[in-house]
Amino acid sequence: MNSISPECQELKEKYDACFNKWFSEKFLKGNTKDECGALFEVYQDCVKKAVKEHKIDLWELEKSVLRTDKEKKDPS
Amino acid sequence: MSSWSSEHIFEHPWEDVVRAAFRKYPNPCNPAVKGVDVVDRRVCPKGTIQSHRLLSTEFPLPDVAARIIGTPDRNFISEHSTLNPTHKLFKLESRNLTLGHLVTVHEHLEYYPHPEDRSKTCLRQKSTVRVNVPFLSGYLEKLLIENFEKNAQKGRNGMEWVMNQIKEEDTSSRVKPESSDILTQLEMKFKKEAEDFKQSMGSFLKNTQTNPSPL
Repeated sequence: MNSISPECQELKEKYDACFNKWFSEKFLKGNTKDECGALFEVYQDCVKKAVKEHKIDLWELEKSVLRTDKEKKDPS
Repeated sequence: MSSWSSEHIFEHPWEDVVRAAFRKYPNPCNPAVKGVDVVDRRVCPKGTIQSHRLLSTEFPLPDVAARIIGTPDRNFISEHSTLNPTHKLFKLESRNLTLGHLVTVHEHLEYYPHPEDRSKTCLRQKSTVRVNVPFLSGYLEKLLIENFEKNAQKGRNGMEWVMNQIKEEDTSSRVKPESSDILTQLEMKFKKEAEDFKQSMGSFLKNTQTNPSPL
């Protein structure tokens, strides 16, 4: 499968191969320690750069406001 | 706003289905999907995987709708998902990013084991569409909703195709060690036979030198 940016293609393929192997051989068997972090970091940097260049406005899920500074405190 | 929902049963266990879900594209049943990237992914302390993916597709509008709304070169979709291996639940939620001011398609999917048969997996799917075109929203929403079942069927067929691919990969990776065993055994057999032949030639030559031919 292609990346949205050709510059990220090789990084994507390496990361996807690592993740798919780890997911089926480790994660689904109970070992949840991430083994593809280093590959993902490099790939993710490339993707974020491509998102900026394409001016894509991503849909981010709203974070819960509870237990953050934005939560309004009870005046009493 | 209009909505559509469906339920489907895959004749595969949950683990096989979610492996395929992460590797769904490319597949020949969904040629409209042109690119997939992982924008963010975390393995949380609770042991769940949270992902945010960006998909690039051809804009899948029926002709009439496309003529009114337009046909951009590429349609981008944001997809957020959470996979919980303890509860065996994989939830996905996606929304289009392109032409969002005119049409919003919001999809929810849930994959979970069949409550009565763990060798099967249920897929519950719901899509909502909102069209923001004066006077035509009802008509265009109806047109888009009619397409959802057709596209959902393509998606399920795509999943079946990917699951078959994975099964073949798993089988060939199990066969490879046996093949190398056979080659090793053949190699050892040839080496032994060569060694035996060398020894019998050596004995023959020794005999010949000790007892020369009367001729």
